[in-house]
Order: sequence, then C-alpha cells, then structure tokens
Amino acid sequence: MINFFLSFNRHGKVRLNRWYVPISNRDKKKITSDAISTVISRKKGMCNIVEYKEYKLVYKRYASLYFLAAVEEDDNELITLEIIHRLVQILDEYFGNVCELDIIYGMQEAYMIMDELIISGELLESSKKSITRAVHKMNEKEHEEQLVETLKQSNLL
Amino acid sequence: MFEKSLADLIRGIRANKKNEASFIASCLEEITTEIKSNDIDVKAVALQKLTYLNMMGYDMTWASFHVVEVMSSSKFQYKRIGYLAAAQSFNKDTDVLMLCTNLIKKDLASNKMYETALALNGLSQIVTPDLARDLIDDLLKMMNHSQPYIRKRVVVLLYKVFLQYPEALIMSYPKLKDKLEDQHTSVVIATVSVICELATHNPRNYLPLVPQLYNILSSSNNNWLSIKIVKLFALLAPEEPRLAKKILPVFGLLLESTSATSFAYEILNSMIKSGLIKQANQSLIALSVEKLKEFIVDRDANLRYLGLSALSELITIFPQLVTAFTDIILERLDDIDLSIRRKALDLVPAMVTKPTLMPIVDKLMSYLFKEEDEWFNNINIFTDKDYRNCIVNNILTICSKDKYANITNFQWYIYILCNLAFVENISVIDSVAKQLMDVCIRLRDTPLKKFFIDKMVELLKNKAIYEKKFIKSGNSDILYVAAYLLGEYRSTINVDNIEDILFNLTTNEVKELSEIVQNSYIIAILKIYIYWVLKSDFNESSIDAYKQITTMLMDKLQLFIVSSDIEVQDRANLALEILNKIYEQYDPINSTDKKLIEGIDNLFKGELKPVAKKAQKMVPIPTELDLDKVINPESQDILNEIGTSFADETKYFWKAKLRAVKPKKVIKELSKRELEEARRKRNQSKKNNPFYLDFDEDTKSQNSFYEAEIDNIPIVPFTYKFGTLIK
Repeated sequence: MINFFLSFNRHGKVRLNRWYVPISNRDKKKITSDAISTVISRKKGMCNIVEYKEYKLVYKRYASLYFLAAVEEDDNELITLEIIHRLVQILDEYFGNVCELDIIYGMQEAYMIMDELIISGELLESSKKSITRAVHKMNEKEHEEQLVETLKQSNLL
Repeated sequence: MFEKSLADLIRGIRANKKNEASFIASCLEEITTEIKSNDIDVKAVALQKLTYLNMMGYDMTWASFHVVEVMSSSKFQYKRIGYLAAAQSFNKDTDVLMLCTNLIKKDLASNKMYETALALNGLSQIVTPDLARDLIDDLLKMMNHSQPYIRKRVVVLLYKVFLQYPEALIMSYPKLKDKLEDQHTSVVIATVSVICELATHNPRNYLPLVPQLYNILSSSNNNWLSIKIVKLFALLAPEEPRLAKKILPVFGLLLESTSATSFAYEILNSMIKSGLIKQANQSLIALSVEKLKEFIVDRDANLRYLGLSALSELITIFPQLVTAFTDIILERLDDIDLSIRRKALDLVPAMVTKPTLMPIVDKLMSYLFKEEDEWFNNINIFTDKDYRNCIVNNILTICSKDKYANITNFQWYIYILCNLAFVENISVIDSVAKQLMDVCIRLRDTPLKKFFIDKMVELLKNKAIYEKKFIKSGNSDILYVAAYLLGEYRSTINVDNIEDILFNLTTNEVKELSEIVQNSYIIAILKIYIYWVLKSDFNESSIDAYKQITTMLMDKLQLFIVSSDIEVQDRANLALEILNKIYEQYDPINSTDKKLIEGIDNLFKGELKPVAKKAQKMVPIPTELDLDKVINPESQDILNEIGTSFADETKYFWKAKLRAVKPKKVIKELSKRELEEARRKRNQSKKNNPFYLDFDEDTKSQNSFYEAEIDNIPIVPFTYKFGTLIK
C-alpha cells in the first residue's frame, strides 16, 4: 500500500501531496522535508529506491519534477515505479506535454487524475483510456452545470 | 466582484518571490473574509485558494466548517472543491466530521455516478471510526452497484474502513469474497489488493480462498492482477504446507515465461521472503539463481539493487549458493550507486573463504585509500562516513569470523590493522584497536610476538599518527594498544631499544593525545623503566645514561601531572613518586640491593589472558566438595518463617487500594429560625444583585414550592460499608 505520495521540484517546493494514512500535521511536515532532502541529494546513476524509517521511498525524476511514493517493506518497488510512470503518462496526455507549470495551475485536475488512479494507497485502474475518459466526462459535467447556471441567470432557461 | 481566482493567486505568488510571506499574508486576510461570504461561488474560490496555500504549508484547519458548507453544495464543481479541501485538511481531530456523515450518506445515494465517486474518494481520505460505523451499511449496499467504476472504489475503500472500525470486516467479508468473481477485472484487482493487505495481518483467515485465487491466477493475463495474487500466495503459503507443492510449479512456469521484470521480481521476492523456495526443486532454484544473476548485472540500477537485496535474503536460506555469485558481488563493490555498494558489502562476509580472504580484504582496503583523481567520479566514497565505517567493520567481521579461522598470515593481518589506523574520515577506530589488542594477546605465545612488538614500536614512532586530523577523529587512540602491549610484553623488547622507546613515550606531542592513551602511556613508561633498570647492569660509564633517563622521565612526567584529566594526574603522580623513591634510594652500581626494583616489578607480574566463556565449566570440581550437602540444616525453617509473614505482608500491601485519608465533614444542623434567616439573606442578595437572572412570578412560586420541599427532606448521616480491605 502506498502510504503517501509527493511531487516536488529541485528546490523542495511541493506541487502535489496525498497522504493515505492518518498522520498528524506536524509529522506530515517533518516527513515531507526529510523525504525531499533525501531524494534531492541523490545523483543521476543511483537507483530510485531509498530506505527511510519504516518506508521505502520510490521516486522518479521527470524533467524538473520528482514524483515520490512511499511504500511499505513488503511492497513491490518496480510496480510502484510503474504506477508513478502511469500517472505521469496520464498527466501528459491530459495536459498535452505536461510541464511543472501545468501541474501548478492545474492542481485541481491533477488531484482528480490521481484520485482516478490511486485510492487509499492501492492502484484502482490501470487503463489510461478509462481514466482520461472519466476525467473528461467530469469536466464535461462541470461545464454543463456552469452553462445551465449562466443560462438560468440570464433567464434564458 | 474583484476577488482573486486561484490562477491569480498563483500568479501573484510567483510574481512576488521576494516578499512572498507578506503577499500570502494579505491573501489569507482576503480569503478569511471571502470564505464567510454567502455567495457559494466566492466561498468555493476562496476555499480553492486556501487548499493551494495549505499545500505550501499554511494551516487551514480553522476553515473546516466552511469546507463542509462547500461540500454540501448541489453543484458538482463546488462539491469537488469541497471534497478536495476536506481530503487535504481534515484529520481525526476535526470537529465538523460528524456533520459530514449525513452529507456523505446523501452523496453516496446520489444517482449521479461521479458524485458518488467523489464522496467515496473523499471518504477514503477522511474516514474515522464514527464515520465508518455510520456508513458501513450504505457501503455494503453499494458493493452491488451496477457500475464497476463505483464497485471497485467501494472495495478499495473498505480496507480503510476496516482499519478504523474492525467490526466492519466481519460484516462485509461475505460480500468481499463474492467480488473475487466479479465480471470486471478492475473490481477483482481491487478485491485482491484488499485481501492482500488483510492477509499481512491475519493470513489464516484467507486460506479458504486459495482455490479461487489459483483459478484467477491461471486464467489471468493482467500483470497487475497476477502480481497481487503471487504476493497473496506468498503470504498464505507459510500457513498451509500443502500449498507450496501446488503453487511452486505455477510460479516456475510464470517466472520462465514472463517478460515483465516487475512480475519476475515479485515471484522471486515472494518465494524467498516467504521461505517457499526451501521446498522448491532443483530446476526452480537454478532458474531463480539465473534470474537473480541477470538482475544483479543489469544496466538498470534499480534491478541491481533489488537483485542484491533478494540475494542477501536467499543466502540466509541457502548459504552454499553464494559461491555462484562471488564474482558479480565483488564487481558490485565498484558500483556508481553507494547503496548498491552497501548491499554488496553486506554480502561479502558470507562469501569469504580461506583462499579468498586476503584478496578481498586488500580490495576493501583500496577503497579506503582512494587516490585524489578518483574524487570527481566517486566523491561520496571519501565523504560518506557511514560507508567508510561500513567497510572497516566489514573487514573486521570477515577477519575475526570463527576466531580468525580464515586468516593464514597473521603478520599480514597485523599490518592491515595498523594501516587502518591511518584511514581518514572514519569513527570506528575503537573496534580496530580492540581487535588489534585481541589478536596480539592471542599471539603472545607464538613466534609472532617479536613481530608485533616491533610493529608496535613502529606505530609509536610514526609521526603521522600525531596529525591533527587523526587526533580529532580519534584515530590516535590506537596508540593505547601499542603502549599497553609494549608495557605488558616488555620482556621481548631489546634492551638497547628501550631508551628510544621511553623517549618516544614522552614526547611533547603526547599531551595532545586523549586521556585513554595518556593513561596507557604512564603505566607503560613505568613498566618499561622498571624492566630496564632490572635487566641492565650499570657500571661507571653507563651510570650517566641511567641518571639522564631517570631525570628525563621525572621531568616529562610533569607534563602529565598538569593534564586536565584527573586520572592522568593521579597516575602521573603515582609514577613520579615511584621514580623519586628509586632515584633517592637505589644505587644501580651496587646491584646487590635490587629488592626495591624487583618489588616494584612484581606489581606487574603475571599474565592477563583472554578467558573463554566456557572456562568456568571446565574447572574440575574438587573431590572433597559435595554440592548437594545442606549448608545449614536449620536454614529451611528460618526461610519458611520469613517466607510466610513477609509474603503475607507484601501480598496485602500490593492488593490494598490506595485510599486518601479525608477529614470527616461535620454536617451542622440548622434550626428553623436560622433557616429563615438564611433564606431572607439570600433573597436580599438576589434583589441587590443586578446580574441575577430573576424568574417570572409563576416560576417564583414554583421555586418557593421547591424551597419548601427542600426543607422537608430529612437529613440523615450516610453510611455505607465499602468492605474491609485490610484485616
């Protein structure tokens, strides 16, 4: 089970964070900063798995962003890397050549996509198509709602 | 009208990099007013901004009520914002959680799939025992939802619910089991994930599912599902011995045929971690070894790392397999990644044998003394203290295994240990010192005694050890071993060299060394000096040498006397006094009166040897000793006597509850007149008190009714027997 998921840049600024276990705010801050400093100090040829306390931090760097998933001792790290890769692929498809700025401004959508992929630390859906379809459907729904609202307001409906 | 949207906020933060804190503070002020607005749109945007700031580290727990307000909106876009804010900021102490129960209930029952999904997603982040208890029935009903999109979410959410509210497991287990047969693969994957998590705590309970799981595994072509099932089987296998026979052939087949490295790794890892591999046949073991080898030499650093971890587990089960891996492990010691090197280092002790010991240790030593030009490539090797300590500890472990069974050449080993003293940037020098001491003491009866004594003299004379960096890191502490050994085995020292040694033991740099070394030096000086005086025959010409050395020593001991460490001062004083006495009373030319010197020498006589743990058992019991004989025949009665009374008292002491001694309250009985007086006073004070909440006429009469009643209640002393506790 993935215990927490972070996305941050080289300067340590967090862009996404999701906690799948109940942890106090103070501990969250400490763990975040520890994990970030551990990962940022790693070099290029080193492997993507670091042991930290009772977790294993599995991270991957995509351009300027690091994506980090903390899994438990008995979890398969390679599959976790796959999950991270799957997430980045979907983000890429959704935003079209995603870059850090897209994730900063599109925070809501990024979390929406994450919620399609991983719930309570487990992989929910492996098919890229179904996830992007679901997200597009939700966006449509929202637009529909907004359209109805504006029409109502201008008394056209 | 002119509120900032989320995008505006982000742009603002990026534009105000220099005064970020003050900008955000002003935004937070705006947000606090906006969020209290009645317009849901304004509220939602404010909440969005607040969620963004929360991610940057700003607290948003004060807004939890507003979060619930936005969550309860009927519009999807606002609901979504609310749920995201809740997921990011609620924790178990949030007091508005009970307001969410009905809200989530309503959303779960919604006929719009995405709203239900939203509620499920949010619930998975904020579930608490209360929420779990209230919503479990709804969740169970939803397990049969028509949409797999919802079903899989409910299943995965159930694990979180079980963690918060364990009774839910018993209620939902039958339905959960059914989901294994669901039409849609994603629901099956979700179910297997949950059962996998549950099985880590209680594998026994899920054994009945094995036939179903076996079928699913054989028919599955989805790697994600297969990996989960393999993991689950590995968890169940230790509980059921017959399972191994059935499942290992399947594993073998899958391992051979799969092209996915993650799947292959999962199979290998599960087999090794669960111990299933113990019951595997030769071909499967050979296949696993081959696959592991492929991992360890792979270009991908992750596979190397994982291969080595799996190998270290495998070695604990099949130690003999390590021989197949010796070359590749040694190669991995040169890996770019330090963590991979560490893993390889951990494996080295397992693969060392008599012939391979020396080359391996030499290789490890070479890492500690890397050349300058290697830095840019492997800069961590020099600066990573942990890694260097690891290497040194490794060398010590390898060599001292089985009481140095693998060492063929002890001269070489002593040489290695002395060299280790000159390794920079390590902190485990005391283990090295201990080991050096141990080896030399064990060698005291061998011809190597002369060798190691010479080596100790060399160490003493080596100026490099006095360098600042070595003193700071504690490397110079190895000198205490040199001093001790020279003092203890002084009989091997060539008498001609003694002057030189004494001179080296008292140089000016000595006061820079640590107290341990200084203490050791003082005693060594004393021992060696006494030995020298004892063994030398002084005549007219050499008496000057004697006087010179003795006065020099007394002079140099002053160095130690002014040390800040109290024990050094103590010993230095002792040594100085002894030397003074000798200088006054002993005339070396008249060698008939050597008793004084011999007397002092006797202080240091006898050998200190290492004693084996089982040595006590080996001591033969004297024949006159009868261990079964009773020492004092009356002892039993005495003990019995003490036993009862003491035991009783202690028993009652521990059982008696602590009762605080309260002073008894005396209830005074008031006469009727005094009661009237008191009541009148009370009413007066009520009238005068402007803050007293006065009742209406009706209640007043009621009050007076109660007051009358109160007077009629008889007052009786209250007694109750709480039972006797102490007899």
